[in-house]
Amino acid sequence: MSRRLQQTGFDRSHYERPDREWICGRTGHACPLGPDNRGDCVTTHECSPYREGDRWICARPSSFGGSCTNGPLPDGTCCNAVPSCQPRRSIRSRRGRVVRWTVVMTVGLLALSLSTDRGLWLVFPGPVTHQHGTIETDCASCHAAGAGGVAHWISTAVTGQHGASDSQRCLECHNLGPSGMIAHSLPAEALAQKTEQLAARNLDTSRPLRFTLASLGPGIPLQAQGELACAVCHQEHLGANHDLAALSNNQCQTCHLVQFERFAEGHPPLGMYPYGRRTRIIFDHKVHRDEYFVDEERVFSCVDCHAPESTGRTMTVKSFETTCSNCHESDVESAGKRGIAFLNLPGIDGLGLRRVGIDIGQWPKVAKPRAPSPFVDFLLVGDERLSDQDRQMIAGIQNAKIDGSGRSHGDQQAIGRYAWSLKLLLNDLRSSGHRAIEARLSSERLLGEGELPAGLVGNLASGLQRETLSAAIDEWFPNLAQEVAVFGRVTGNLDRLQDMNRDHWAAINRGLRDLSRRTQNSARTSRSSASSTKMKEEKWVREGGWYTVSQDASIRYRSRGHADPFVRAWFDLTGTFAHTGEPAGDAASAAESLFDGLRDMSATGKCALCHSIDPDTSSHGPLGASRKMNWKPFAPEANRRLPTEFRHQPHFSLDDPELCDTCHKIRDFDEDQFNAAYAETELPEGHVLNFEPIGLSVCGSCHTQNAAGDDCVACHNYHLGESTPMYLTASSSGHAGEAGIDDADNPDDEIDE
Amino acid sequence: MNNFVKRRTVNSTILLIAVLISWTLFSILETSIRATSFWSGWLLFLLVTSLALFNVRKKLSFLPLGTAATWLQFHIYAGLFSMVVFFAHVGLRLPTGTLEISLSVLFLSISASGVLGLILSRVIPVGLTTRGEPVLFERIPTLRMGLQQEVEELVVTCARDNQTTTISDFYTSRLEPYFRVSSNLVYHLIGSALPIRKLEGEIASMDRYLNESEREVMAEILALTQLKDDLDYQMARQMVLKGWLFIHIPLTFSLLILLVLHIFVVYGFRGNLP
Repeated sequence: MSRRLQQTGFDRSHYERPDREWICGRTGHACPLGPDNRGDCVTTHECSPYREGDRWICARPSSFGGSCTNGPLPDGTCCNAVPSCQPRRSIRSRRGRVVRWTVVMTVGLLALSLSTDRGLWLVFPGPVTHQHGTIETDCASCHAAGAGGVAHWISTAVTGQHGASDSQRCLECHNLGPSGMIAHSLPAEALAQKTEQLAARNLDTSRPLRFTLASLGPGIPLQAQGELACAVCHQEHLGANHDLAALSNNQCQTCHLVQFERFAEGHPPLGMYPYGRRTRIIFDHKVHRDEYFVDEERVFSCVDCHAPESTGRTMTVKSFETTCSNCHESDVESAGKRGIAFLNLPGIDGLGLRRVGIDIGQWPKVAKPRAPSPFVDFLLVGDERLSDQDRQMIAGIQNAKIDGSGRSHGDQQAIGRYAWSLKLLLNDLRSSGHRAIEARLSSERLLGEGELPAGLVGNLASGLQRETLSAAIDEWFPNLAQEVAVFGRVTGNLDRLQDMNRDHWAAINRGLRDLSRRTQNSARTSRSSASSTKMKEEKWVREGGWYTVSQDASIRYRSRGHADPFVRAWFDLTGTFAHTGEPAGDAASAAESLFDGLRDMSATGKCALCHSIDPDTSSHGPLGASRKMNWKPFAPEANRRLPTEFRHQPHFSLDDPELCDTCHKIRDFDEDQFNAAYAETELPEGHVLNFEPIGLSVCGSCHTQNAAGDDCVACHNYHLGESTPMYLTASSSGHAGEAGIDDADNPDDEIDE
Repeated sequence: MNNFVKRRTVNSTILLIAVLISWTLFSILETSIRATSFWSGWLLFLLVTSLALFNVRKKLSFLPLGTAATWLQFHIYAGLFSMVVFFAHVGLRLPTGTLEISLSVLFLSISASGVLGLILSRVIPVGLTTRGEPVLFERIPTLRMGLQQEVEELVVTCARDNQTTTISDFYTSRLEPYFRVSSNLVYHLIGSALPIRKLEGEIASMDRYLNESEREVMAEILALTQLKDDLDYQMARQMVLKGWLFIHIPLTFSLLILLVLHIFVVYGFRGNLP
């Protein structure tokens, strides 16, 4: 056994004081007293003798050798002087000094860094996403606290006064609309409506435990007016490649009525998605696949007609020329070969009327008695002086010559007033052309306080040449201008033609007889000229356009082919006028009549064969909801974000020869059901015609957590509605114009089936 | 079950419960799209502050604030809990900002030094009791000097009695540097006996040059050399036991300062987050 090094007896062992700041500097000979608190050696002798009676007694401790042999000096001083030492710091003291220096260095470095112009660099929490890279060094771009330096943000932290919120700064660049900070960027009413719709589906609302627990917590961090701060979901300063839009499924579901564990287990059924409505283009997939394509010995392939849009998101329908024209171009061209009468004259017995004192001047003999064309009827609504009763009476006389026999004198006068109103229209058209059409359509009777859509007039008179119009009118009424001048002199001071009396008619008769005498020769020349130009113009204008038919005194228009601007413009105009106009007169019925004439299957262009008509329930008029012809199939708006977006392109990598059929299975349905879905009274929503509804299992077979992923944001958008992209993208420039035409009223996530 | 096992079991259970509760709370907050980092941050700040109070408690030993042992147990398990909260706060990602990096490095350094200190305080004392005589750290220099004086006295006496300088020369050239300071500390830390074996070999090799009397003296010197080696072992190990606090404590104060700045930054730039 080795010997012990330490003396452990109370009287032999030195007493150590490691908690003291200073310790004796003499290693191996440390004095029992040690240095004072300031680190000064205070020991001068080995002991401090004490006195007993008249003797001084040595007080050296036993641990230091006990009483010395020599004992104290006579004056009581210890005989063993001790040289002073250089005290040393204890370990604890040295550690304390390190701590103090560390604190000083830390505070000093912070103060130094924060006092410089680039003080915020120290607290900069890390790189922002690359999208925000250009504003990374400007804290004030996103943070109100960053606008005033260190002192400002420290005071902001203390006072909590943020001024304009940081979220508002986000919205200065990211235009999410007026409800940008509300959940889903939807107005509160719209959100409540969506919730009601979902609640009405009686879905399973039992929820997993974590959502039950979450419901006990502090809840969603809503601010005043139900707003959510952008930073609740979008965490910045997490690196250049951080996904700002990343959101966990829990975070998505926490607000929702239906909460579930996984997409494949608990996600509400897809319902009618994506077939939210009947197709805008009336297309029977089943009969095309099973009959037409078989007859033509063609392969029915989805991609022949459908292609993904530029973002790869939605499948769109290719153009008419690429898809339908092979078979349907002839339909468009052959339909209504004679075109549609734009201007025509009803057969009125002018001589008969003159005999009863109603002089309408010259009126050509029309081969077949017929009512005025819907265009004429509609344009005459724009004559402020012609009453609706007069106009409707003439428009209601179908396939019969309009004469005065057997009619009351009042009706005879009504026929006269109508004839003169029509002459005034023709004279206006002859003299002012397109401007006359615009003036009629813009009249208060038709438009009220509204305005014609810009550019519409150009299409309403698409290609109508002055020569065509003038030649026809001159043939029908060689002295039209003079006759109208006579009529104008007589009735110029009347606000309503109904105020015309016998004197007016007599004055007109006198004026016209004078005119007749003066222009007899020129009229004869004109008639012979007109007869010489009589020909089958509709054959001449096989490719479409304007032509006149002298036989029934009409100016007709034949469709130039698919997407004819004239036909389309009149569809658009009358579809709205028929139902939303609020004129003083009966513009609605006139427009209705014209609209129905254009949609007839025998009408030129045969548009209504393929283009469906949607009622616009948001726009009501005297005859019900406004109607809108769907000129184009569904096309997503580039800047419109829908709640659900299936991205087709990534799925094309799946190795499946019948890839489209995986989701879009053509179903059996009968023709009556198909036609009924397109009835005018039917709303476009709620029809699944061509395809079977998509089952959840179709998606769920791949979209699991461990396979293709089942994140909510894989298919769903949070911010809905219009948003302006921060930078130009291929999609933002390409489709916005097109889509705006026919899908502006589609806020839902439903596309053509 | 002895007290130590019982204490460890109870404390570990409490730690596990705390982790589960905090994990549940954070999950609830995250599910409610609340900023979990605000809550975990404040919890972490409270934990770090309470951990730092252990040092204050040691300075205020006169106050009835519980035993140091109780505080140490709290310090250990609260420290482990704070590491869990730390990772809940920052997530499993590398910090990027200067302040965030500093905070993370400091916290992880303090945590690592704390865990190291805990391991050392469990392992080293066992070794200290099994080798040599357990001595107070502060007494080691004095004891070493005592051994040196004993050896020098033996050498001088031997030289005077035998009129030879063989041992004194060997002492001057080889043993004096060895006894003058604590030696071979690193070897003692890693548990290597290589230096002392080498020295023992050198002493043994002197045997052929010594007479009988000198051999007896040399045997005593050898015994003192081995005592010095045990003393060095104690020195090395106890120095490490005290040395890790030179990292742990100063960094803690730096961390507290940066934490305060971090809180100001967060509240200054939190915008309109509730």
